[in-house]
Amino acid sequence: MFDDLPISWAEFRRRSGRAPNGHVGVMGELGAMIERLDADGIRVRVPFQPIIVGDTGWNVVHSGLLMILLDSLCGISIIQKMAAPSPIATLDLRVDYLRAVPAGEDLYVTANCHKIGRNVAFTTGTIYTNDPEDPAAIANGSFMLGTAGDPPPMATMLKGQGA
Amino acid sequence: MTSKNASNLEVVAGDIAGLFDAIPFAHWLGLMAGKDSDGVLCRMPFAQRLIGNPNLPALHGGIVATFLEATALAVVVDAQNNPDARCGKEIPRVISTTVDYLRPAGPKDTFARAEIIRLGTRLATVVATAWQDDLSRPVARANCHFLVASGGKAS
Repeated sequence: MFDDLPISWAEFRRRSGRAPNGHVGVMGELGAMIERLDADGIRVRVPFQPIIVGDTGWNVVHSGLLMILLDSLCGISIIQKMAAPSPIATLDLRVDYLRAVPAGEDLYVTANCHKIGRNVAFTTGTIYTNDPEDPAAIANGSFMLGTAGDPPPMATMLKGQGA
Repeated sequence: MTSKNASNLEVVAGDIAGLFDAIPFAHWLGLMAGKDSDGVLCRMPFAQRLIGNPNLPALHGGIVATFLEATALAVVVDAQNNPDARCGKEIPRVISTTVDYLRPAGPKDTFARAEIIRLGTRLATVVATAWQDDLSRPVARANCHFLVASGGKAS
């Protein structure tokens, strides 16, 4: 299902049954590309574009965009690891902004799920640009499991992907 | 303020009203800021692109977090009375944000207010709350730290 990476976020949503009426979400509209999706986690590249600027004086990328990316990726890192499909919802998310992201640089986002408990799953995520050793933001997110709604279809599809 | 008034309130033009228009990503998300007798009130009108889970449907958690952080920023900028910051230039830099998600945020308008817990010479600590239909049933809360005077570009 996902052995032809990189694929766009929009394509990822379509294949996962998460794009009703063509809905690709903010990640899809921002042109996110999934570059890695395996047992060790997920990596996404988000190309720079002028609409993601957060301060035209400092000329840096908006901090909220980083939270959007980290929330999305932390969630998928859980779905990736689930033994059985179950809907999830963010319980809390903490983001530390280690440095600003200069306008013009592409963003890379990675995330890992450290534990899936009975009720809660724990994740971390990182954003960097040119150098993975120089992160721009790090996140800790915990997610409730078994929340309202249908289980994410992608959870079933991702089984057998090495999770 | 009753919840009915809150959800019916039109965000009124004020000094802070242009802030999100001057911040490209806030503008892209459609965020609005205004002031009423209780202070800064922000609004995120519903738009399809804000949906994170189309099957529920529910707003994207990261977008709700962005809205809370932006509301906290607006309150700090409003308190500082810095003309450049009001135009979205060299605004206070956020150091960290912690969000607690309390209820699912549905496909409808979201409102938020924020309170400055402490405003020092270097740091501002702000708590923001977002709700939809009912002010007493918030959908999320955030705690944000901002660097209000960096003395230079590096944080």
